[in-house]
Amino acid sequence: MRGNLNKLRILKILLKLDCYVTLLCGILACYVYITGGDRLIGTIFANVYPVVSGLFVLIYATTTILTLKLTDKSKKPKLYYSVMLIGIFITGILCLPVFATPITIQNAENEFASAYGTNWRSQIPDDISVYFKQTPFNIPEYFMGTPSKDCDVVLDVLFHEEDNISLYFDVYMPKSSVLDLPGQYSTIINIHGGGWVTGDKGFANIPSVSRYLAAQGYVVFDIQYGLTNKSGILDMFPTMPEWNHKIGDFNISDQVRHIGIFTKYIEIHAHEYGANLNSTFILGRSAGAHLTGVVGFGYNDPYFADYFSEEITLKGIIPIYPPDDTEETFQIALPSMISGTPETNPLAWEKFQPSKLINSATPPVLIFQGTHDPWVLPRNSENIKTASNNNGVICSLLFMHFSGHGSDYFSQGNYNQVFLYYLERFLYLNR
Amino acid sequence: MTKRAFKNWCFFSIFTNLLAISFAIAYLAIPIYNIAWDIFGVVLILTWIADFAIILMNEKYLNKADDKGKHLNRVVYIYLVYIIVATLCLMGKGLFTTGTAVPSTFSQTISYILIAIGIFGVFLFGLFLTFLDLINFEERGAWKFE
Repeated sequence: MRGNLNKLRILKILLKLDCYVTLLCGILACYVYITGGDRLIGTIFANVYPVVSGLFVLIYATTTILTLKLTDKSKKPKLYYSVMLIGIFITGILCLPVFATPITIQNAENEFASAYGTNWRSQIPDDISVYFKQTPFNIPEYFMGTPSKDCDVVLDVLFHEEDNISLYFDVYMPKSSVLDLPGQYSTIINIHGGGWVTGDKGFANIPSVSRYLAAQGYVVFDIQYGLTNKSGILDMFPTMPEWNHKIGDFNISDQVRHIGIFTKYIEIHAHEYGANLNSTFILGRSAGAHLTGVVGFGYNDPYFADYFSEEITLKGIIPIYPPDDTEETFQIALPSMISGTPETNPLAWEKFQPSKLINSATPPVLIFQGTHDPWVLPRNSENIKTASNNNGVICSLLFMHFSGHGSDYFSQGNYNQVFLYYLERFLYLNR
Repeated sequence: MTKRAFKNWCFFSIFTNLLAISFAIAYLAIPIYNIAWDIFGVVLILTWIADFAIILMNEKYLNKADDKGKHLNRVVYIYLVYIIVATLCLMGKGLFTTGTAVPSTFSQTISYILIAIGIFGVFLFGLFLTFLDLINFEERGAWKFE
């Protein structure tokens, strides 16, 4: 009996400790939501909390009640009411990312209206829009998700070997039995993120989105490129032993070259996958978005002569939270990724800054950016938007309110729902 | 709050929990967008509110010095911990689905299990707690209504 009582007491103490730690994390998350936070705190709280904020609301409402139950109101009334107020405050603030979804949608609507005209929806026939998401945000989908889309997948196809590295891609294709899909076998080259030192195709590159797009008629190539082992603060990123086959002494130029090698490979092999190279999009996240920008905007730049296939026609560039400020990014994080310094080698530093490659021939651009991203600040996306506007290039910048870095990694979340809704329409309007 | 008002809230909670479970089954069976899913969204939120309200009312009106009250209070504790675990399962489900390149029977089974814990479990537990409240409603000493 006494033993049981002690066990119960220990359980209560542990539960209480857990509740207080959870509430403390909630306070830090609120600090980041309200102030934007700094890189350190933002890395944890801006990158994690907003992505699943709707679920955190449930957790914090429950934790608050649990903490109140564990606090003796008659003995510690001040503590009791403080916990109550703090819990209500945190729960309320955590609602913001979900409550801000209508603002995010309105912002996206305005961007599309200014890019494609106020009646842009009329450019999408009814028999096509039935394939698309019908609403930008749906609550049941947020909590329960949707079943994975049906498509054909081929994994781990080798496309390049040199020295000690070998590079592979996965391909997601529409089911051959389904005709007249919106994508019409347009090609999407999907480039993963990971700070140029880590990351991979597949699991780390949101395969659910690749499946979704393939089910709409697009042929999605999720590709690898060589990861660098050059030292910098991004060294702290984790790498896996199974990535050894693609790690080497690479710089940005090599990584762009690897993507170029893929474009040449696919020029020869496109028919095997039914890919239409006359309608190609490049999509990438984070460091992959930077490479997407360099490849997409610099595709016909003389600096990259011979890098890319000439048989590919780019119809759209989709950088998702793209680093653009080369000096800030590389001088601080990975100083040896571009040879020389901006002073000694200005041309290279200019040619690896996406916004500086934009010209009047650049295809339409769709950017996805979190307002609270602690790693890639919103001004990076704004640089690209401004450069696009200055060159008369169609560019829609979708700001995801309260979102940090990588907020699309919860594919059923509010951010990814809104993003997919506009992405599928962007692809169709430009394919 | 009067005893009668509490009882009425219990009936409302049972109604919303049953409605949410029915909608959730239909949602899994027909995963194509339908206007009904917008209604389901509202029902989901109402059900969580109803369940949280039941928990708070138990906290306020249960007489924890009484044996029955103590027993019900423990059920509330377990329910609260369960909600947290269930919500973590929903997070896991979302991340798991996001990272699955080729869905298999195994991965789909895991997904359904996580939804069962995260959605159905919470609402069934809510139903169970509300039923327990109703069954023990006339127990002398278990409650402290004014």
